[in-house]
Amino acid sequence: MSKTLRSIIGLLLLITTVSLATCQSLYKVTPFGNESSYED
Amino acid sequence: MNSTEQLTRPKPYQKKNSQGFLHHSRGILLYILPLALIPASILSFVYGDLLRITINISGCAAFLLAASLLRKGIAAENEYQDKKITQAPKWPLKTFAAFIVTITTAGIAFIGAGNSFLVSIAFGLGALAGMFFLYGFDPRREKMLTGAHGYSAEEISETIAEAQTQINGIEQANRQINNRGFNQRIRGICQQAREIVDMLEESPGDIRRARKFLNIYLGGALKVTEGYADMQRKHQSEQLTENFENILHTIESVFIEQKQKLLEDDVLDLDVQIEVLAAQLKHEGVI
Repeated sequence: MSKTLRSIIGLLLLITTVSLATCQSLYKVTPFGNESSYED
Repeated sequence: MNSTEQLTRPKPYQKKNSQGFLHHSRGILLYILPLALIPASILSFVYGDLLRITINISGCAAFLLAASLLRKGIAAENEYQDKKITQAPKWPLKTFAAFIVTITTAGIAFIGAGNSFLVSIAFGLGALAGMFFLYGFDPRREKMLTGAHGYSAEEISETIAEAQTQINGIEQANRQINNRGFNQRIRGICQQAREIVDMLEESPGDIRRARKFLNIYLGGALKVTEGYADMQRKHQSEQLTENFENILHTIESVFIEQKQKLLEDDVLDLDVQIEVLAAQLKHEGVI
């Protein structure tokens, strides 16, 4: 596997996992993400 | 700091790095990716969710710590790659950063985002793989060239660093000397010395002779230059200038010959010269 390809795969993996987890965490604290507990 | 203190403490040698912006920005990504955790923390406060306050704030702090460790690890790796002879970085900082990112991503996916345990583990492993693919592992092997005659990488790199510090010291003292002729000649000596040190870095087989060269020639040159810079500020004397000129002449010729001998690999002749110069410096009261 070439170094560039490895870096691209790494970049995609890192961006996907970390930003997805953090954005999901943000979504969960918005009224849309947890309507039942926060809206009451 | 007064000028006398400046003379006695030469700055350690630092190699100039001319890498571009992309090279310097490696590792910045980890500062950007967790930015969503900042509004998440604020909203957790707004809604008074203690568990999410804790996980979002500590997650954000952990990512920043990992980013900082990663940047230091990358800097240590760059330094390692620049040197021909060196030890591996003391701590595997990139690996520490990768594990912090793994645990934090899994923790945020599980507690903050409410994913199942297995999905959160998958998040963590994905982040770990991403870190290793993108940033790689820390170098762990000491870099050694063949023919180092039993000297370890640490001894050789210390010897070279010490030489570069001494050359810096000579240059520093040269700036205190108000004599253009001397300034130019000392600059020439420093240039020769740097070339010799570069040659030793290329070929550590000469390290035994290098040590003698550093201890006697370079150490002697540093002492005389500093001594002259100090003395000429206090009082000008023709005798002093004449003595310094003689010593400079000897050092100049010896440095040129030293380089030539290193190129020719002429051990015996060089040892004799070292003894001769040592005797002269002793006679002049330098060592």
